Amino acid sequence: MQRLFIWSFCVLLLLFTAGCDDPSAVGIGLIGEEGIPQTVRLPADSVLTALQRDRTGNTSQVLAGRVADPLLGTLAATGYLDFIRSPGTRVDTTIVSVRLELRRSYLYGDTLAAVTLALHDMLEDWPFSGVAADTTLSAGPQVRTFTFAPTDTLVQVELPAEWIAANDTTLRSNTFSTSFHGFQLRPVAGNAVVGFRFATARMVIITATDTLTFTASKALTTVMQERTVPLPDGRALLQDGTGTIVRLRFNFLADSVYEAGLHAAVLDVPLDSVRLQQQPAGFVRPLPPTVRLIGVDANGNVPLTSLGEPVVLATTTPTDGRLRFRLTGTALQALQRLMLGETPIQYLQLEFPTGDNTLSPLLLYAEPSRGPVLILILTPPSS
Amino acid sequence: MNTPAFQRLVGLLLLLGLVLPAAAQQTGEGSVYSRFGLGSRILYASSQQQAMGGGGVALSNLNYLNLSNPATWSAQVLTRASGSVLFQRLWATDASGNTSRLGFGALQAVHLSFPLRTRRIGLGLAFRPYTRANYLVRTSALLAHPDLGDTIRYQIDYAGEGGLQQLNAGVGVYVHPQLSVGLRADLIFGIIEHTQRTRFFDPDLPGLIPTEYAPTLFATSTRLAGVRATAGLLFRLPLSDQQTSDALTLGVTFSTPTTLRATRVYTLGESLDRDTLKTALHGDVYLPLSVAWGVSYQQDNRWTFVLDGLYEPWSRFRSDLPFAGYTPNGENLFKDFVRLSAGLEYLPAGTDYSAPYFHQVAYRIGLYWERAYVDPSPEVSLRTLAVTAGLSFPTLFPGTRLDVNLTAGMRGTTAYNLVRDVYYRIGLSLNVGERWFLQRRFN
Repeated sequence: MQRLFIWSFCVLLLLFTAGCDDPSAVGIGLIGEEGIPQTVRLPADSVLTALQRDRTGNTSQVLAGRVADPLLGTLAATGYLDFIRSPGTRVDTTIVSVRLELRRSYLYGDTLAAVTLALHDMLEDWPFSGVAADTTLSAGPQVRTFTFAPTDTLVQVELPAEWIAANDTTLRSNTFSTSFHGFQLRPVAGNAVVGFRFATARMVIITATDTLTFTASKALTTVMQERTVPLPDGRALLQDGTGTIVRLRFNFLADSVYEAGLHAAVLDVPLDSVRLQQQPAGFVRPLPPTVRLIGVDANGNVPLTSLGEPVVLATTTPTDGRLRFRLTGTALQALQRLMLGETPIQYLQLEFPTGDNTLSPLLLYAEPSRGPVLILILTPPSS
Repeated sequence: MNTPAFQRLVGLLLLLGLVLPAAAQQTGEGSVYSRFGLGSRILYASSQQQAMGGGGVALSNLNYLNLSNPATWSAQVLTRASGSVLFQRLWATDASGNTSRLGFGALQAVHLSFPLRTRRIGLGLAFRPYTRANYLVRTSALLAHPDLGDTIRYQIDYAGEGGLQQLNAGVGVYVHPQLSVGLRADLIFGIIEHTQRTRFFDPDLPGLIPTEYAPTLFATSTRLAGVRATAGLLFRLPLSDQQTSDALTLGVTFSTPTTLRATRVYTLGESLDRDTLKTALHGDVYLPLSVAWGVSYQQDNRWTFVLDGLYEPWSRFRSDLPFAGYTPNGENLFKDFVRLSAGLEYLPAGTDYSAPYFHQVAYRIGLYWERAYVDPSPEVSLRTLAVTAGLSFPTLFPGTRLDVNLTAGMRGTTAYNLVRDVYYRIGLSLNVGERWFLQRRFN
């Protein structure tokens, strides 16, 4: 009985101490409310342009044509397409005709002048995975040339009867996938580069009894810069397909950010959209659909993930004359480590995803007064 | 030796050692005043004294080891061990009437002591707090970021954890029927950590944590360690020839000033993912001396009165490292620490072990007044006034008692931008006494 009383007494006392905590700002006056998150604008110390090998193989579209951009110079794009016979299809009877069907998905240049491309046979297998845009591939004899309006959404190219006859065995062969090596699309005339959607590119074979469709199996675009134009002062060019990239360096040793705790970050990159919009009548200069932000070390090497991919900090779309990269999650952690100097990353690099494959340009302000700026929400370190 | 009782003590100590440090890690839920200096000064001498106002420099009792005065360690009969835990609820109120409700639990102290010669020479070992930093202040507001087009709610928790502990080892020696002396070495060590955690919430949906915002945790950890010595004297003045237990006792202790070696590290990040900021700071922290005196009066083995005072000249505190309230060669809000206390114990049965159970329960009350060693506001000194009470229950095992103590107090004021703390504490303590080291005798 006595023991029960004692233990009951102790338990009751302990229950008195139990209860929900309700911390509040009582006493904040004694602490001084230090460490309120602040907004800091950190302009880029330097805006460097560099070249790297732009990879254009097996992207979402294949480019072909030549464009002389009065602002940026002349670029020539040569496309390569290969086809594969769908499983279960077989050419049994006489081939009546063969045509290529190419659906346009991209246009850069003069929309008023016709574009002429030459179609060449590819005689050998060619690489496509991880191939740089400045790769040179040798092509076979010309099959034909074809001309189309650059605004056409569907381009159909009938292949000549001689070509059909010469390739009749190949088209019927069970080893078509390995014995046929596709076509080269080489610019001949016009002032535009067009992009054809890889997923919808088809080679249609019409026989006496059937219509067969061969789908695109691989694609590649090579790009050559044929003429350059000096850029306006204080601008940096970021152009897809050419391998140009922009590297930004920030002074994370500045007092305002040194060893601060990072909460949120936006990289704001103003674009000279006025100058980009100045173009001759009928000339279109599309903006790239996506720009991505990655981190690179002092030598420009890109730290890769375990899957061999670069660590992408953020992606964005040019909007309202600027690129705004909102860093979240692991990207914020990466930037925090960069601010603390605990990562080999030295620069933030603007580049294009390899999957888009365009020649679209961006003209960046590179002057410190109105160049790229990191907008950071951070807490300064406690004193 | 009574094996079951000792096994229970070992079990209790294991529980205290494993569970309560974990609970203590969750602290940061005490007074905001513990942010200043090295934390709130904690005085713990025994569970008996805790219930009697916390003093007792002149109090000698066979059932307890009096940690405040090593001279009392000479009068030991049993090998004795104890473990104490503390639970606290605290209400902090500011001038606007806003209130925080906070609570925490922590290991208070453990000790082991035994006589080398019964009632002549005794040794003691103890682990107990010296200071404790444990507060939690939470502020929250909306923050608009026009640059980002965002409005976000942030919440900052300012918290303190840890404190200084002391490991005591000493000896008490009976010199004369009216005089005992004691000497003790105090290893003072510990880590004091102040943290600032910032989190973000959706302004409209407070439970939603936006992924665009990352939380941060800044921590300032200061590791300190040093040794000091404490000497104690105990004078007994018998009041009656017939009643030898009636006595007036005077006690005094002196602790030397000491230097703690300090290392301070700033970090950013959580637990194992912490990044060290800046370079570690090293320096010395000079602790002042401590003088305590006390008077106790025991009558008829039933009544015990104690009256005590403690003085520590913290105004002489010096440090190479800054602390809240102290900047080297700058701000110094440190003042002399003063503590006065008084207490009373009534044990109805006295030494009659055949008395009814509740006559063998000890009933204790006390009170104390403290002036803190830091004045957060120069206009007013920080004072604490508290009352204490306790019950000491005998157990089936002779020499073993279970103590329950209660403290209710008030600290500070709502004036001068300060806060008033009202708190109560409950302490549980198990004191086990066994007869060890008996010489075997053969017929």
